[in-house]
Amino acid sequence: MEYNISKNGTYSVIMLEGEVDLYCSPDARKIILKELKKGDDMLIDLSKVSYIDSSGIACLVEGYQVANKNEIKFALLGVSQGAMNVLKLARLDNVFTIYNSFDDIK
Amino acid sequence: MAKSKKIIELEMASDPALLSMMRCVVLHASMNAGCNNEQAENMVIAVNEACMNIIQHAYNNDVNNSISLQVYEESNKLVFRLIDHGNPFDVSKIKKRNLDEVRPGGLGLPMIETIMDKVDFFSSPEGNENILELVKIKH
Repeated sequence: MEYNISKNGTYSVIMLEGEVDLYCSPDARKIILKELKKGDDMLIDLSKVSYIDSSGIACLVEGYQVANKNEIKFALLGVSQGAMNVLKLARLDNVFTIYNSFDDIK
Repeated sequence: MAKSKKIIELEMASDPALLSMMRCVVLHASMNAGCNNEQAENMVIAVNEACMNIIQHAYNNDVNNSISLQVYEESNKLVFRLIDHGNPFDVSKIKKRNLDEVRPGGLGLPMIETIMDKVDFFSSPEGNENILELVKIKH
């Protein structure tokens, strides 16, 4: 897994790339939680995620919960087809705010 | 009794770093057995989650153990058999997550059950192996 952190408006954008599985989800969790501590609204860009397992999804859920607790906006961006399939299997596709692109964010 | 043909047997260490390789094997085995791309990707998700459960729960994340994956093809179904020698699996103690709850963890087994048509846990007659059998009926 590779990642990149950037800013877009008020959002901190974490782009995850490649496979987010049990091998690297502990890293993904650390990255998301560390960035959330800054207090900026957060977008997790999943457009380049080729595979995500339940441990990766658990990182997103934890981030979502921490963000909600701290009144930070937390959303997913450009979810790849594979990642969306797993979100649907976990019945979480309707839990997260999901944007197709930056243009959809108001 | 339907004729069963073993199409893959893979022995791997209980190391998360090897899951990616295992997923490639399952994807290709599933497609060779007649699954379309979407079905094969779901087989990958189910078997990956099963391997994760073995690594995390049967072996407590110790990477120095083994997982055996066998894939069988029958006329109307695909069978994935996972064998480990870790902590015995007690079905009665599994805390399955209600998928309508929003919390991290406990997602693996419900996802496996959603994808597969049959999920069986049993021990070898000698009691030293945990065997998980995932069955997908071919449509």
